[in-house]
Amino acid sequence: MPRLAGALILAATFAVIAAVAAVAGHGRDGQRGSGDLVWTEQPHVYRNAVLPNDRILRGVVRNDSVRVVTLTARDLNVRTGDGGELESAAIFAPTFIRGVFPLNRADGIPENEQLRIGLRVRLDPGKTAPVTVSWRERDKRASLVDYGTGSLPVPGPLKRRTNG
Amino acid sequence: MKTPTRLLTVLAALTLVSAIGAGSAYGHAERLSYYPNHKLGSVPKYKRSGPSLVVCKSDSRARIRKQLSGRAERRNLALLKRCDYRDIQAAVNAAENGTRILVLPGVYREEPSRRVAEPAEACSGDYQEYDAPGYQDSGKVRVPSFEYQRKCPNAQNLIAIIGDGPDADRRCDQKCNIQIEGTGTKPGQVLIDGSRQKLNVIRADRADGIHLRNFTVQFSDFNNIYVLETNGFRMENIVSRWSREYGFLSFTSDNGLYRKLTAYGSGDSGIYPGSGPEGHCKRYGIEVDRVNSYGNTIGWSGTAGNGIYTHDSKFHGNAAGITTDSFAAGHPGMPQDCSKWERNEIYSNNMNPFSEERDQYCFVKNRPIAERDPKVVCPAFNAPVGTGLLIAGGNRNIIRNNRIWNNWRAGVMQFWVPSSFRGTDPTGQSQNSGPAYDAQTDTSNGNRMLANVMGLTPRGKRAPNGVDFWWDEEGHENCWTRNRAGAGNAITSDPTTLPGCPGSSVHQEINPAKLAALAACATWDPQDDVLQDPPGCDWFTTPRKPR
Repeated sequence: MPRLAGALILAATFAVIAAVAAVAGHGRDGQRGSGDLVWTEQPHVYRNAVLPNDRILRGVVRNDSVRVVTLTARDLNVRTGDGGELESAAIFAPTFIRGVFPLNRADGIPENEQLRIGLRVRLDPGKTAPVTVSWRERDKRASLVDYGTGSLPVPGPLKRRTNG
Repeated sequence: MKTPTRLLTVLAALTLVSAIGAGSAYGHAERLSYYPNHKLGSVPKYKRSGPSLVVCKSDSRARIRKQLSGRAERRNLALLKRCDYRDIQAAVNAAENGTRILVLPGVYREEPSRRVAEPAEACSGDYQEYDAPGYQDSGKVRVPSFEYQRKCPNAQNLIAIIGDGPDADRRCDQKCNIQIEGTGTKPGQVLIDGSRQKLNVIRADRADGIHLRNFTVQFSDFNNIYVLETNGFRMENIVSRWSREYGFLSFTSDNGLYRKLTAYGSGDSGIYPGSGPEGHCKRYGIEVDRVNSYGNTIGWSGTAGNGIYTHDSKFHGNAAGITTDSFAAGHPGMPQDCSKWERNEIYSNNMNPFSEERDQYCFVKNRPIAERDPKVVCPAFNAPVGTGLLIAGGNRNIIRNNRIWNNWRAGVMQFWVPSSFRGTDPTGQSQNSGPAYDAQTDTSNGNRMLANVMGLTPRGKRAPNGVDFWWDEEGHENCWTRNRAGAGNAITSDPTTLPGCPGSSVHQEINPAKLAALAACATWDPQDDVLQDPPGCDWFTTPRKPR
């Protein structure tokens, strides 16, 4: 097959997949922001009883694009409605995990360990990953989780309290 | 947790695994390590006679005169006449199987060992490379092999007892049944000082029958005493202090005894019987007896801390008294199971090495690591401040007849760890398959907490824990029976009702709110201004003293 024709077919295929993905996302405003990732279902937001200004969001993201998405948890930022940045933390894990490497040495953590413990994630198209994002609210509420090439909405109402 | 949410969590965790590709090599991983055949070994007995070598320093005579009297003084002065070695390593090098190495009062800095460079050029070809245990196809690990330790024993270790020869049997051939003993009347009279120059102050590697006794060891850059792949070991009447990571550590070893040890000032844990014997509840392969562990980030910890019987010991004044878990990759014997804690005192574990002041002290941006005071504990890992005993992803453990009080967060905490989190085990010594593994439900099952006295000091004074028992509600056959508080007080727990023994065989699912709170704590990073106290995580805030 000529190279140009192959590229056109590939591009058309990607366009169809992207269109299907976009349609699939309609009607779930609480789950789709902008960019490649969507919440698979509305995430839950919790409040720690001991830390009344802190919030914890727990959800699962899916890569709705046709390309591999690689993210570093530390690059996720939580923003207010006017774009302000809140103190935040994120990890691609549904619960606590401890790494192998001591953290008092200022050595870098190898990439494979970062992937294991959720400091990084690599998502093939259509794949999902758990994510936990926490932040400190001051005067303004969190509106979205910004991951650089897109964002995910933070649901409005507070769901539950942790038992902290 | 409702089933759809649970399924999503499990699927997400599995997807996370499948999404991972190539990565880079490990930093501080150990070589692939294997359990010895426990039937071929035993805990060494104390030898009072037999061939011996004597080690002393130039001021040993003065120390003997000053510190000892009577029979002990006479014995040490007599030994002094036989002293042929100024360094313990020199005596180890000269020792044959079964030798007693008698170390007279003095400070042993082992200067010849310090002069050996690491990495050792002479052993530059003696590395082992294997698939990273994080996940399949996620890169290679390159670490010093056993040959590296055998040929260049003092590259990483101030004192190395390397037992195996060049054969492939992983069993001791030389330096077996060695006993290294301080000859003073107290451990403090013989001091072995690492000055943070070497990863390990003492390394016993395939050194079956090693017996270490009656001295003080300090200032390793990683482990003060490290016992690896050793069948039969005994550590008795030793003080370990201010190790950058671990005080006493054993790994893939069996037939062991930790007895009358004192451990304080460790950046990770005072004692660490990790990758413990795989007796699967039919036997205990390592005994921890009358240990006193305090002032560490964690008093006792063990990833895959299996088959350990810990009794009549004290764990106090740490951030967390005891933790055992199924978290970390590269630990044979996963998931953790079948340890027992009995008649221990676990109290006042509220020391906070994560305070703002300590955070700033340990922050590399403020102070290069070399300029840290080695007596200041800079935590190597995170732990929930104010916790007596934590089981994170353990199975079939017994916590019985302990006295647990004044831990301001929780007396005992238990939570689940998804199976996929522990990665792979390239040695094939972990249970990383089967329906429960696939369902991510093979941890946090069958733990029993029986007849513990909670919130009451030995003198009968009320000293409550924040909550006596905290459980994330995941698992099956976990149970709590006959635990008691002081007169007029009730056991406190979260959830408020706990199953009695034998517990329910129906697998219960986790409380998602608790799950969220735990996950937020995984983002801790002492070298990041915000993540020193990550939002949403209260583990690093000293809990309010309970009333």
